Amino acid sequence: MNQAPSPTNRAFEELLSENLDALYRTALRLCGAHTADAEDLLQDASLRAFDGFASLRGEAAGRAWLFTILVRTHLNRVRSAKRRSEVMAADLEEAAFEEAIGAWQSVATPEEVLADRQLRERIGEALDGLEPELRSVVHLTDVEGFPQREVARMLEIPEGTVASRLFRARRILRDRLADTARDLRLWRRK
Amino acid sequence: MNLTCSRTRRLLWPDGALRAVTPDLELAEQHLAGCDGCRRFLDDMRQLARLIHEHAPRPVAPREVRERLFRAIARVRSGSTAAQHRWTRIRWGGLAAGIAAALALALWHQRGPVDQGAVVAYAEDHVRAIRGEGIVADDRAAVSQWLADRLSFIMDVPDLPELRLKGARLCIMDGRRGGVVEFETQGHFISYYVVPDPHPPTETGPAKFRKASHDGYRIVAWHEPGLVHVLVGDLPEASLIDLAQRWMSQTVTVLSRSTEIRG
Repeated sequence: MNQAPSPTNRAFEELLSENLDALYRTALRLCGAHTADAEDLLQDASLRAFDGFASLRGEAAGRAWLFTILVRTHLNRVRSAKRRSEVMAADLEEAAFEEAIGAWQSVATPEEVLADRQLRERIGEALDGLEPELRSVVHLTDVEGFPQREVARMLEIPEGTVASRLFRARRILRDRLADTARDLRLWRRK
Repeated sequence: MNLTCSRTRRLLWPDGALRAVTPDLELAEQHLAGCDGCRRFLDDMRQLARLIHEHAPRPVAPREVRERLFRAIARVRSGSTAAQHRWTRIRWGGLAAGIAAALALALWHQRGPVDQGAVVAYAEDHVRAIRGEGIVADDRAAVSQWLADRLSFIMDVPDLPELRLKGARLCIMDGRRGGVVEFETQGHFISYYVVPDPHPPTETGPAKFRKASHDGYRIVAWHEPGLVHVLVGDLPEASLIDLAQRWMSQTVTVLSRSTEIRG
């Protein structure tokens, strides 16, 4: 029979419950929208978090702590031991990153963002179409709102790498959304 | 000293962090004040971030996912530590077991219409109930021995180079105890079921593959006298069939030596 949860367990369940939707959608994004894998990842990460909750210091850090466990559980699954420290082949080095952001062409900006289902779907598709390394960074940063420094800690990569991946992801998303934006007349020429 | 646009954008890259005021940063701010291109760049980055933040889909966790999760935690909390370590495998296996059960019932037993949802739910629940039965191992000999000790037939463990053996467990399909061997390949889990089937095959000649899919999982099955083989995974259908063909060429050899069901 199940025991009544202790105050510690209750606190964990409250923390998990508050963040469950965000963890679920992050798991979906990490798993490329594959529902079964995402549920599996969420379950695995939640049980690991339950195991380690007693060691968490400070409830304020709970959200980032849960996401860190989710992300690292995912990384452990997809990376072999050899690839663990491998840098993404296309990561921009600092000099190349500066060059790339220097070459940014400001072709369009949102004029009026409509709460349009079509736009939401296209953004979802565009996010799912990103390489996994870019997708995780842009999701954690732009969708979930974690500071880039925190995302770097979660993914165990340098902050500069987070910035360069974020830039690349946004550039790709802008290009992929260009047609949608034109269709919806969301962009204006400057 | 003037900074380039590239250096300015890098120094002022919007990362949400507080910055110490340094001489470089002051120069970057001065550059920004007189550079439309850099202002547009930073504005574009913020607007793209806002667009993504505000318009990315935000699916919520389905109620059944939430309930399953908290049930699993409750089980762990109650001291069922074995369940904690096996849960991931069993949960996936439970789903696959349900699919395989439904498929086996629908395709081979041919006893009229089947409430597939009920079968899936029943099988998944049942496999969870026997979660104590399982082995986590990557050694073929150990897994084969484990299965041999528990099944009334000999179940070979296929040896294909791209598959990593994860372990094995038992399943109950339509009231009959079968074996499940689990593999992983490039992040995909594959389960291989062998379940006794008392119904004689309706076809003669070489075994034919039957294909189905459910909830993103693809299923390839084939029949041997007295046994049903089912391969379940989320690989593309062609990949799963290729595995099944090579798999069958291995297992047929073994079953020809040991096709008799014991017990």
